[in-house]
Amino acid sequence: MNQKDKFSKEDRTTRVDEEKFRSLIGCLLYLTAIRPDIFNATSLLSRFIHCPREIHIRATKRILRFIKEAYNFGVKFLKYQELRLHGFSNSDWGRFIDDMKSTSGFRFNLGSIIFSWSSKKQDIITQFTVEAEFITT
Amino acid sequence: MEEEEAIEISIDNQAAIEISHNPVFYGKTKHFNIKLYFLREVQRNVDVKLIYCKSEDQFADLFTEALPVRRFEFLRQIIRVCSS
Repeated sequence: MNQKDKFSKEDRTTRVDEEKFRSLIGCLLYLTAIRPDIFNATSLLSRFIHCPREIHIRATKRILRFIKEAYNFGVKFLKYQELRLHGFSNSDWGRFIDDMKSTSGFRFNLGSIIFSWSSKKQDIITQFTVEAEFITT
Repeated sequence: MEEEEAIEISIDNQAAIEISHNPVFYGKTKHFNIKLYFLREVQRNVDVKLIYCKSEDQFADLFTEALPVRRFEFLRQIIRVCSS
């Protein structure tokens, strides 16, 4: 995903076919089960399935191109001695410009292997970064 | 499976850790949703421990924001997404 892209519901670019966009996002969401690296981009774009614009379909095609380049990637599980549960949690703050809600993300490792991950828009509007992080945890 | 020690969760925000430890009432935090204080409860029971980590060591970045290519590839390697 391009860092400079700002997605919004009321983007000026032209509207595109909803059905096509929906099915694309559906396929990508299915793929996230084995590809946590595209999880954030996909979940961000899936917020726009009711009003897709040119900018969103462009970003989706960017993900598709990325997958085409690295199509045989996946999570690799290795045998590991130390079995310890460790978590990481993070949040951005008010980056979603339509309603200023934050996104929280976490992942959990067992040993060194990732087994649980999430990226989700928070339910309430937060006033501080601290609060956003707090909710994530 | 039983976990003997507390589960460590890394956060790159020290204030969030402080608030989660501290039962003192702050004016600035009074609007926090009451269900979030579940976090204090699990910390008191030593099920979960919050530890601070630097932003560079925050490996959950991948799930919250768009990243530059090098950082993205580094984090992807950390979570072991690689070609078979």
